[in-house]
Order: sequence, then C-alpha cells, then structure tokens
Amino acid sequence: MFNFAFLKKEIKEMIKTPKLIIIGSVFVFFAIIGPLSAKYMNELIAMFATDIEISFPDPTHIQSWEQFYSNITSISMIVFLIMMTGTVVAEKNKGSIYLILTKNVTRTSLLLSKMLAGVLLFTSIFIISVLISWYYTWVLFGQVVYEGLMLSLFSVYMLGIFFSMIAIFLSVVLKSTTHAALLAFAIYAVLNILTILSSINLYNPAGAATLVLNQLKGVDVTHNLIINIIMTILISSILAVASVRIFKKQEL
Amino acid sequence: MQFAVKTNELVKDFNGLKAVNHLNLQVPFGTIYGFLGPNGSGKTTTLKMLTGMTEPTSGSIEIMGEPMIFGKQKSQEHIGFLPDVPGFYDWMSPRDFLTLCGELFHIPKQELIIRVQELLKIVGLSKSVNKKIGTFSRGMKQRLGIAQALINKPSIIFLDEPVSALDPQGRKEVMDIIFGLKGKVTVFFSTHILSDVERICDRVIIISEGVTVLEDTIENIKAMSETYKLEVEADENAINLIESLILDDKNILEIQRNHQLITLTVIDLDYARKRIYEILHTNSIMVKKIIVKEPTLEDIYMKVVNHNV
Repeated sequence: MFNFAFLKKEIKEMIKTPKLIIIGSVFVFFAIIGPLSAKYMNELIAMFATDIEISFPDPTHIQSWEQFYSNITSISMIVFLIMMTGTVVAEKNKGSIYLILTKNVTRTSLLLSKMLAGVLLFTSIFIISVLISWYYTWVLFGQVVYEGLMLSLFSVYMLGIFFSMIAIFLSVVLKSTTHAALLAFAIYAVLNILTILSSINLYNPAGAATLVLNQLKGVDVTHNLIINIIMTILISSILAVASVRIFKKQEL
Repeated sequence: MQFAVKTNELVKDFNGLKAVNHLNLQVPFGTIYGFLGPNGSGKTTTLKMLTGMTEPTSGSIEIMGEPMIFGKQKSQEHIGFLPDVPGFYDWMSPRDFLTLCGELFHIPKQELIIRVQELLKIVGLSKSVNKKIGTFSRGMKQRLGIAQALINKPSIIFLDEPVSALDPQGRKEVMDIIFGLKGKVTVFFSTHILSDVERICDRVIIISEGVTVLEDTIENIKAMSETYKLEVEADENAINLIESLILDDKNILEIQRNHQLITLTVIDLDYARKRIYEILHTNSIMVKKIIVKEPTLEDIYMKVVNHNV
C-alpha cells in the first residue's frame, strides 16, 4: 500500500530546506530573463558595438520562446538535476533511511514517493516558468502562440521528467552525493553533445531541445517530436522500474 | 518458551568473508538481551539482517514466531530499531519526526498525538518539543532515537550500540531509559560497554568473528568462571606475614601485592577462606577488610573473545 505520510514529508522537506528556493529562483529568473533578453538583445549589442553597423530583424515572440527553451534546457535543467541527485543517497549516508524503512513503509513506496515528489516539483516550477514566460512574451511582443507550441512545451516538460528519473536512478545506485551529482552532469553533457547527430535526436531525450528550436524556425518536426516524446517516456519508465527493482534488493 | 527473536544458522557472506557465521539466536520474550562482541565481530550486520535492511546469505529469522522475509514489510509491525548513529531530518522538531513515524504506521491521529507526548516524556524531551533536531546534542538524538523505535508499541526493539558515542551523563540517561523498558518490551542491544550489560541485561550472547562463543544468563556466565579472587587489606606488616605464610600454598594460583593489600587468585574459594581465617586467628592479625571478588563480565569477556575459556 502506498504510504502518503512519506510523500507528505518529501514535499514539506522541499519547502523547509533551500531546495525549492534554489530551483524555483533559477527557473523563475530565466523565465523572466528569456523574453527580456529577446526583446532588448539587439539594442544591447548595438550599445556595445558602436563602431560596426548591425542590422537585425526586429525580435518577435519566436525569439522570446527561443530564449526560454535554451535556458530551461540548459542552466535551469542542470540545477534541477544536480539538486535532485541527493534524494536517496543522502538518506542512506545520513542513516535516516534505516529509521524510515523499519516503519511500515515498503522500499517501493519510499522510492515512488521520492519520484512523485520530484515530478510534482518539476511540474509546478515548469508551469510557473511557462506562465511567466507567456506573460512577458505577451507584454513585450503582443503575440505568444505559434504552430506547435504546446507539443514543444510538452516535450521539454518530458525532458525534465526524464532527468528526474536519471537523478533518482543515480541516487539509488551510487554511494555518495558527489558521485551522483558528477555522473548526472556527465550524462547531461554526453546527451547534449549527442544532439549534434541530428539523425538520432528523435531517440535522444535531450534531442527535444534541438527539435523545439527547429520547430520555432518553421521546420515542421511534429512527427519527430512525437517520437522523441514517446522515447523519453519509455526511457524514463525503464529508469523508474530499474530504480525500484535495484532499491528493493539493495543492501543498506 | 516463546522467543521474540529466533535465528537458525544465519549466515552473511560478503564476497567470501563470513561476517555472520551460522548464528543461532534465541531471545526469550521480555528479556533485556545483550549482544556483545568486539568491533567487526558481526553485530551490526546481524542487526541489519534482523531488521530487514540486509538479506541473509542463508539461514532463517523468526520475529515473534513469524518468519521474516527480506523485502516483506510484515515484521516491521513488531519491531523498533535504533541504528548506532541515527539520522534525522534536521529541519524537523522531535514532535514532527515522531508524528511522521506514527503516520508511517497509520496510527490514528488522536491516538498519535497522545503517544508522541508520552514518548517525549519517557525520553525526557518534553521541554525540547519544538526545537529543531539539527540543534540537538548526540545524547538528545539518541533519546529521540529510542522514542521513534517505540512509536508502534513494538514487541521487540533492536538497539545498535546505543551509548557508544555518548558522554557519561548521556550514557547514564540512555541506559536508565532502556532499563525502564524492562518487562514492557524485549530489548536486544549490541554494545561493548560491559558494565552496562552487567547492570541491566538478563541474558547475553558474545560473538566473535561472526560465531557465538557464549550465550547464557549473567549469573550462569559468572558462575562459569573457574577462579575467584580474595582480597585482604591490613597494615603492611600483617600483609607481609600473610604473604610469607601462603607463598608456597599450591591451591593459590596467583598473589598480587600492593602495600596494604593482597589479592589472591584461587580455584577453591572455601579452602582459601578457611586458610586465611586460620592464619589471621593463629597470628592474631587484625584486618581492615576481607573481600571475595566475584568474576566480572569483563574477565569472562576477555577470556572468551581471546579463545581462552
């Protein structure tokens, strides 16, 4: 039976420790800075580069979303990933896991609570970020929606869920918070380097970042995005099942 | 006799190293049971198996007559566990933590409020109820650790070296709490502080290198000792005289002199007593003290752990 008490603790912990504040402020900051930098980038460049003549087309809501996707799939995602990697390994190292698992909580229940808390956290900060970006884009450019916006947002959202599962998986299998964080970053880097190979982007969860930018440029990548989303869901599910299976048999 | 904990040929093998080697435990219900052994003898590994944190390589465990299966949570209803260094969530207050523990057992809300208050009182944390656990001393954390182990009114609690990391004051407080549990719950605790064991345990098991070397009641273990010590205190001349008279006595194994004190190690205590009284009477020696020193658990522990028994 699923134990909601532990999920409640996970959520409270995010609020009472700096976790939520750090992740939340990074996401909110970049959600605000995205539309702003899109709007004023040309003027900023012109201000510093006075000796050369630059003529860029006037920015639109497309540039605003471009900034949003670039930021949320890079710095914001890295911060989220690194912050999430401690979730199980820290409890093991601190010893609190012994106090919890000798109560009426199954290992599956404990891990599902951790996953659910991670997903809830990402979902809420993602929605808030989208809303902020939406609002500023509207205010600054007077237009927000473009062809394929919702699908693009969903694929980036699934990328976040995928990285939550990566964090949980590493947190289960590794013995130190530092190792988990370093390896998580390495995986992030490798997957992003692989996006150079555009042919495999539809199978690479991190390929979503490139695909949504193509969509913005007017290339219809709907088909590829759908395949990418399905692959991301599939890989995330495999990671989730593997984490539970390993954790259930783990020597603590 | 009903056993709170029973293991049958319990083995834990870490890549060829047998941390626990065919351990057969029988912990009678309601006892305070001391689990002794030097560092690295397999105590913590055994406790981890008994609490379902580690899977035994072979053998079986019964908790309150029910088989314990690794990965199944059934036995947790019966047990409470305090690891050697309990890890808490520093941002919580002791009340928050105990409430979480109770909720994990699905204890109804009203009952839980009362239970948490009771436990905080038992472990002496009533005054610190709203403080953050992060500000607690080790002793306070250990006391909170005992409270969380008792939240579900378990039949048995496992304590892994509950006082090793504490100062004398903290140690006394924790041992008093454990002693107060006598008769209410079976307490199984590992330690290497032998004076604590002598004071509160009914039975002990001593393991070394994963193997049982001794298991019995404290009284029986002490009675097992083959030697006794007789201590006589008098003025120095008298002690010199006593020493000279018993020097050649074959029944006295060892003589230790320390100014006005002489300690005799003997096999036949009655013989030694008669012999000393005779010497005192015949030579009109006035003594300050004659003490029969019982063997301490420490003497026996050192012997069995060093395979000298």
